[in-house]
Amino acid sequence: VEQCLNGRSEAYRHLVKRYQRPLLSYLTGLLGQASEAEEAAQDTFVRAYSALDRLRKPDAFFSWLLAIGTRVAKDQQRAAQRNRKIARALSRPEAPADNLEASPAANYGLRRAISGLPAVYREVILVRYYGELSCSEVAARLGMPLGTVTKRLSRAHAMLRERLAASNECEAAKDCEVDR
Amino acid sequence: MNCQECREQLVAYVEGLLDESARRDVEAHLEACAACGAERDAAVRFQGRLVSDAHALGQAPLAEAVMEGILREQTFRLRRIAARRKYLRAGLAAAATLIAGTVLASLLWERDVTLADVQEAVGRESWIHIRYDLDETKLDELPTIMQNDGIVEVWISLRDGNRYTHWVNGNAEFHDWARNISHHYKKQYGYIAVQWRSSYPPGMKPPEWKPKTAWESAVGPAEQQAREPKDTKYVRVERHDDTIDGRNVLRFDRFFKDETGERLLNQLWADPKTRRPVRERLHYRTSEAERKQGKRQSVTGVYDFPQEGPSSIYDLGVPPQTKVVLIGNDIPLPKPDVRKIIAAAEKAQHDFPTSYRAVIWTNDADREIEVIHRQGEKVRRDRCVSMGPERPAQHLPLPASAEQVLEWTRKQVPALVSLFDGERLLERTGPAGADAAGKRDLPQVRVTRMAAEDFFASGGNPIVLFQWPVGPAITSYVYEVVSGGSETPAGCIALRGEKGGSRSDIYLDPSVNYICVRSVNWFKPHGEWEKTTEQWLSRFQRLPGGQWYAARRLWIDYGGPEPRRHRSQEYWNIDLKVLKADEFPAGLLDAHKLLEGVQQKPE
Repeated sequence: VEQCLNGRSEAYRHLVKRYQRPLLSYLTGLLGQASEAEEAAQDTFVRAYSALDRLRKPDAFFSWLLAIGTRVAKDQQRAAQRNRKIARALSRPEAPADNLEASPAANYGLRRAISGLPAVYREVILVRYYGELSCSEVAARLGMPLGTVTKRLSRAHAMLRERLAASNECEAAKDCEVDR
Repeated sequence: MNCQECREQLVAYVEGLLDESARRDVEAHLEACAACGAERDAAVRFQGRLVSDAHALGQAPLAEAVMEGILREQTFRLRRIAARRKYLRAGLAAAATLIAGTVLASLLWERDVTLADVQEAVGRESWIHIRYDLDETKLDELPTIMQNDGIVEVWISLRDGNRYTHWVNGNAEFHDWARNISHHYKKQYGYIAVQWRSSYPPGMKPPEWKPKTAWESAVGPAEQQAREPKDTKYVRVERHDDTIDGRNVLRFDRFFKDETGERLLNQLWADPKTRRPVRERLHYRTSEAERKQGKRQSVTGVYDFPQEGPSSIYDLGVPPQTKVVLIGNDIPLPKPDVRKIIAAAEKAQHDFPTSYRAVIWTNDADREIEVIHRQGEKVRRDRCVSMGPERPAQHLPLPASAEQVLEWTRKQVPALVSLFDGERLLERTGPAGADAAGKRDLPQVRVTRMAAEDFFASGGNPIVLFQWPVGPAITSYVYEVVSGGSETPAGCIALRGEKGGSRSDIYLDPSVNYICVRSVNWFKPHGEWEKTTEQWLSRFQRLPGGQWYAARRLWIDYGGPEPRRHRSQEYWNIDLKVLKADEFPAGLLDAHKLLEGVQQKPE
């Protein structure tokens, strides 16, 4: 981020590569479909680039990126809803417009559960696993003590497993047991 | 320890991040409490699920699409600006000679303005200077956001459009309108980076700067936006009457949203009588806690209009000796002499410390872990293999820090130890796995005599080889400088060598001792060049002597020539510590010790 703010626009390419997976996972959770998530991720990075000089704390880049991503996803959902309404209005009333929609992305349940976590837990899960960073790197990147990172991860794990169990997602996947 | 406390520590425990006593506490609780034990197992499995989902996401080629999107966006903006200017030019063409008259007319709108005011406004304004009420010595009183982002002063030249900004943390910036470049000084880096094409992208030349009055430059856009809202940074601008020290002034409240959607306010006061801006107030986004602590939420800047302004970024308090570093964006740097570049890289190789310990590992549990000790011409490499989760007793929880990796390797028998003592290379394998009767073979050592230069040229010193794969001792390629292009990492010099059906591209970064930031190997099986392997180095760290090294290495294997295997990629972590002679473990570099109790293979 510092390099980009310093004017190395090429450095932004690396920033995209570093954060694309956590962002994609989050957006898939919000939007359901991989292609939509990819489109939204692209839009998010482009918007973030134009606004980079207004990013006040480079340490907060990822949470800032997620905030932009949330807005982009909402815009996209609104546009899709509008399009669906138009499509319905143009077709016969009994035509099932939803048939046109693609099936949800693989592992959608897991990513939806992650996207639904409170922001502080969501952030550590995304950066740690999808950003492939160690806990100490996560601590440095997000500017928090290592102990906070691991505690948040522990709590986030438990919350995710509970949510997945509730939605029967675990049962199907069989690799996520909650032995209670 | 109760169940709640134990469960909060589970991730730290599973990843081996707890100190000795905390680890023992957790283990004791896990042994006693079956429910928490099950919770731990579930956490481990769930961690596996997250990791495999992250892998399943793959690396979509998003970066290229994003960079293209950015370029499109910039081009679109420029077209909009160009269209606006064209429109403006057309409008002004009819009254080209009356520009001064137009200014005059707008001034006379305010009844008690004299011609002298107009002349002063048009003829004598050279610079706008805004000084904000921030004190560099009282950073603690500011919220974090202002410590990083608080502006102390801004200089705008009305004659040539150049602009200087100076922040409370000591950073400074200079934008040169005509040359389309900018200088950025960041105090923590201690150098000035030069960026070409700062306002306009490749292929676009900034239009000629038209000298402006302070009113046109600072107040005009706010007036315009208050009258006819357009799609600009400010979503709404309100014009109000106000007073400052008994003077009647105009106040423009400019609302805008930052990227997170939060609404912010910038205020500007201007005196219609003197046709000059008077002051400005910038409101910052601060946290609830900071507001409760009574920290500042806004800064106020006062305008003045000096005849002379800064002549370079050094006039803003940047130390006079600060070095300028060129950062080329996508502009090809002037073609330098290849020999000089290779010589610079070889010098960096030569100046690299020769006494150190390096730990190299990946975040993949089944990969090799290597510990290298080098003292002058003596080099020892211990290679261990981390066993996968199927053998939990020996499993190294990854990712881990260098210290954790080292601690783990100390408890292992290395699968391979090689020691070069300046004259001989000793390679000890084993001990081999136990046979059916449970007997283990003795470790074996192969001894090869070789000259030091051959040993180092043949990969005996991997760190230096990763970083500088250049020079006749290491490669037989004859390199040429090639023009940048999109494959070149920012600020790097691209070199290409070809022989027969193979090609090597290397990209050296002068700002980090000419380290080869990226290298790509190619071959040509069917008349087309295809990539075989690729390496990227990143996360540059500085050693106490000032030399740089890369703490991360990405290795991509595109599969060899026929048949093409599946592509693989691996990240390696590298931790390097310079050691003094007395810091090497005793006997570690002793060849005799390595030969004790082993079978010697023939040379």
